[in-house]
Amino acid sequence: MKRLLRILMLLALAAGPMVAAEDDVVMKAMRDELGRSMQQLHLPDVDKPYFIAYRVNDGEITVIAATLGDLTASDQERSRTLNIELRVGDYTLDNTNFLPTRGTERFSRMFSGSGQLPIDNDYEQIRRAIWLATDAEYKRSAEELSSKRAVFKNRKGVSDLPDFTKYEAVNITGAPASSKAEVIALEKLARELSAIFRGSPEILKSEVRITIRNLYSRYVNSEGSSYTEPDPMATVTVSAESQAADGQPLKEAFDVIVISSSDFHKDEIAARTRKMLERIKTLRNAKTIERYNGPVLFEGQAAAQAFGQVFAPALVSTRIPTSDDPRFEAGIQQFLAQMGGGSLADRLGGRVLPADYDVVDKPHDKAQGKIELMGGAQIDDEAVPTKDTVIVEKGILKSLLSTRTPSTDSKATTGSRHGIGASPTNLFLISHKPQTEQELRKQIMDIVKQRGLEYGLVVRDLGAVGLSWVGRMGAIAGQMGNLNPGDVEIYKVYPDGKEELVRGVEFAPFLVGGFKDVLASGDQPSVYTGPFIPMANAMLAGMGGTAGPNGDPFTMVSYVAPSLLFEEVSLKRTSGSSPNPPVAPSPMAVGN
Amino acid sequence: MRVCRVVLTFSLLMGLAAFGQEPAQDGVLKVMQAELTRSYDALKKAPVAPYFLSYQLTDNRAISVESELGALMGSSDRTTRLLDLDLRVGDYKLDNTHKLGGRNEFLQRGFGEATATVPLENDSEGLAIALWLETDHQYKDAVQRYEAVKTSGNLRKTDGTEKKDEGDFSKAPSENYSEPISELKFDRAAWEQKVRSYSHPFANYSDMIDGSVTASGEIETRRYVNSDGSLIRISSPFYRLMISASIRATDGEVLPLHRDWMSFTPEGLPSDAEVNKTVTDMIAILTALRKAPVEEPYTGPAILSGRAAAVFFHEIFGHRIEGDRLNNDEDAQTFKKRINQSVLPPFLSVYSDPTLKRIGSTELVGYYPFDDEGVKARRLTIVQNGIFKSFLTSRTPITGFAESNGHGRRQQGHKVEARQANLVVESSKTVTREELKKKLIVEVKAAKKPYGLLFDDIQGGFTFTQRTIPNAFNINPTVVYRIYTDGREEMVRGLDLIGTPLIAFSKISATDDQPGIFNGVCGAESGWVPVSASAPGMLIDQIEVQRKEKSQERLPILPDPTSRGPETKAAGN
Repeated sequence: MKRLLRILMLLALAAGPMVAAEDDVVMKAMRDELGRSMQQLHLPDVDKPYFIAYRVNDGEITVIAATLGDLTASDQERSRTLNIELRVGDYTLDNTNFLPTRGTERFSRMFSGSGQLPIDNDYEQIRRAIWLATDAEYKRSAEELSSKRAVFKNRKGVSDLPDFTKYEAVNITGAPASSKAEVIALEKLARELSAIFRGSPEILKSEVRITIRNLYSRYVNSEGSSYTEPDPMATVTVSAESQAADGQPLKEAFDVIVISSSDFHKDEIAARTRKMLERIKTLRNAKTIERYNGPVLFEGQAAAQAFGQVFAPALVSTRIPTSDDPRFEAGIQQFLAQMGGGSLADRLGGRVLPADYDVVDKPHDKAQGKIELMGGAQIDDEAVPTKDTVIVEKGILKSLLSTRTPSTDSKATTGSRHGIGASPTNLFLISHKPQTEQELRKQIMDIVKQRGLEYGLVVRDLGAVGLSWVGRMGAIAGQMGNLNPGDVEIYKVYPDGKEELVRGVEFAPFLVGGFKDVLASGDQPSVYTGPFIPMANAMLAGMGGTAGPNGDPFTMVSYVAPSLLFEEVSLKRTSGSSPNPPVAPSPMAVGN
Repeated sequence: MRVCRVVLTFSLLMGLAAFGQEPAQDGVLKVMQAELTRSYDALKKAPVAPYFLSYQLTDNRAISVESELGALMGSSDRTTRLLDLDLRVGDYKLDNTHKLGGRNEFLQRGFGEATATVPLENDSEGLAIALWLETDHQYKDAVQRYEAVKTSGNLRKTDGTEKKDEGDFSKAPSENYSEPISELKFDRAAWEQKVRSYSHPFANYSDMIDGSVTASGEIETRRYVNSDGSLIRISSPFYRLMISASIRATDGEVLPLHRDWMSFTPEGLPSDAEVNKTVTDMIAILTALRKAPVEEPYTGPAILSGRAAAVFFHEIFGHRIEGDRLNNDEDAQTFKKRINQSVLPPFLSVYSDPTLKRIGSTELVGYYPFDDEGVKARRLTIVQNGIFKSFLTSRTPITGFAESNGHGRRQQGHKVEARQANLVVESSKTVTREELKKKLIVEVKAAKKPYGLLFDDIQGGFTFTQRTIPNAFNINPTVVYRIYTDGREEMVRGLDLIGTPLIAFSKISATDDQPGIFNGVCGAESGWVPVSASAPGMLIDQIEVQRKEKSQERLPILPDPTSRGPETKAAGN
């Protein structure tokens, strides 16, 4: 069975598109087992499956890491995983939107519906693996529906919303991405970029990590839909750690996320790395501030980050699952309230931004100026073709992004199922009253003077999770994967225009409601590509729904927004104590 | 997760190659030694000073390929370099590693395992930095924990019987040893093809749930330096082939069977013909097992084949002689008060010998020249003519054993503990295998039983050594026969071998002259380490078996969709 390897070699040589996947053996095995299961898979006196979808993801992941010019890792992995969405009952009432809290059911669901398939294109063994996984998933789902029925029988006021909506058959074919990770060249890039930190003993740890993820999905469902779709992504993450004289740990990081590694611009990344190195050196001796309440200007990508971390998570519709334990549900409601509440669902038709702003999700846009947009897709994870969705128009909330699972606030899908639930793709905050950067600067200084403050604050980088409460929890728990939660980059600006880097501050809770009071916006939209971190309720809904289609808890979204000026934002000195600096001096400092 | 790497990273391999270098020229060792000296000297000046520091840097390159029923499931080539660091403050008598009383040990230990990012390349300044930062990190942890240890000592009562005046660490001579760096000889593409072909025959049988073959080649190079001046480089190759298959009986029971080979050379792995024959035999056994009757609960005489006895001794005896367990008050410590007392029948002796590379033509994977604390390996008598002589020890002293006998082992990233290596059970009273069977029949008749049992193969098991749980063992045999009084043999299934260790050992009445050897990888508190055990076939006058826990799982609803068809083909017998 050298065939697969040969295909890959061909791919590496000829950069042309591959044969359409329509007739490949993997797709054939998926279709054949799907057809058989829909017709024949059921137990006597037990509900039949009414909907089955298979997704097979071929993944090729290359990870290269280096520090101080030397490699610390260079690994390539290939995998093929199967995900099954199997629903028993009917569209009105099925086994989903239900969260068992007792017994082993809760755990069995978390690990169900997915598995490894042979990486060989071996029809028989792939089909056999799908057969066994479908059988297990059917038995589990049927049992789940029966517990759900039992709970519904004993309780009043349970949701009468249908569990799932029908959708017409759609067929889309996309060829796998032809790009191949050029390991040798990427190793060289990682070495060269990481060597920038050489000769800087004040940097304790530094790393350049390159991740090339080449994903190819095949999907079929029992409604007659099918699609194949490539999803390539190339990331460079540069991070460095230092410690201030008083012991406070300092961490700086940035990501460059593009479609193909050929889009990496070495000189640009190197320049950003050098800038970051200089900044962290400055930061070691920078002063912190105890407390600040006043105007804050989010400049450039920091505005897109604030928009993505605070506003975007509130724009998706979620269906909170029914559980078998009312106390659990009450507890969850309380917990959600503490964690910044849910979406903006209750504000539909109401004002959520000033009247000069629109918010639109644009899955088909490829670039903003010269910057690639990464969130785009032709079709969502439930085989619904994607389209532009106007979410906010002239400041009024018009709709929420939704999936095929109806909720009280949206009955029809917007084609936004990505990952565990609804997610934006390329989300734009559009200002109809743009101002130049100078005008924004003048405006913040006017407020500073008016309020008798010594200075105002400008934020240039929030990192991946600077304002996301859920994201910061995740970062602490190590659940953020490759994402580097670097420190926020904040400057004091004085009336004379002088800027001064600020060390060790964090934001007081910055909630979605704050966006109603955006004072002004710039005329140059910036792009930030980062994870879509849903609110806690959406994660919970994800647990009660079907398994996430590719195992990634977070989808990558490009957020586009102009600089934003807020009148009142609170920050304080980072809480917690710091470790002592190292006892022995750095080996790099010896002899210097 | 099964993974596959498509392109080998040649540049990386070139960077790592340091074949045949003399230790004096080994740049990595030099950096390790220099940084150890520098950091140790600097920390010596701190108010709480370290008295011991060691670095162990483990390079591991492993290629592994796996197939199932003829299709490739995964293929990977991984290179890692991990740092393990042992830093001790206080003194040999009482240091930061001292066990804290109470049940908060987990919290006290925390998550502080090695996390430093170490460059894979040999001439990297990043290595010195990683060593420095990790030393500093561990030093701070050690100081903090040492304070807790001292406070805890003041707060807790000292129980006279459990008092540990043997200290927390023992001295060991400084050692200098170096092996040339081994070269990995493993043709990945060829092995992918081999494992596909080896596992393919299993696909012809529809009741076969699983039929997988995994082949791997690995080089592990360990560099060790400590503040006593030791300088050690060990580079061990390790080649392995594993076959696992399982079949479902008509009542739903899943019946597994495993075979594996391990060697220090790729040539030591079996030929295609041998593997193919093994697969054919495994299919025959599994097909027979599928139809075999389910054994009822039984007590009576039984024979353990040499291989089964070796697994039995490793699990039931071996884990109880690992010395570090004696420092754990929650452990049952079966042999603690048994020094110079009888624990086995007088015709049995047991020794551990990590320096043994083979017995007969079979290689022993528990081999090593120095343990993971830089202590020279040596042969150690554990039981002499039934009398218990010694525990396996690391540099953590236990009552009556102040020094290490070279059994401190770990998987990289874990804390060192005393572990088994090559465990050898010898008998001075042997008979032929046929005579052993005759003896069994005599015992069966005397006990007025219709038959005895023969345990031909065992896949492993578990044993409780904690005090709070009954100290029983549960062994999972895979191939078991009834032996009737007329000598007839009949395969049975669905049973577990259970019992308590001291009683089981006392019932061993005879052994045969054909030792069986088990090579495997054993997991315990200090991670996974390769181990071997050898033992003769044994007659045990009384054993107990119970029914295996019954599977609640239904058979798949739809028939197998592949061309294997719904009917099982006739197996090879």
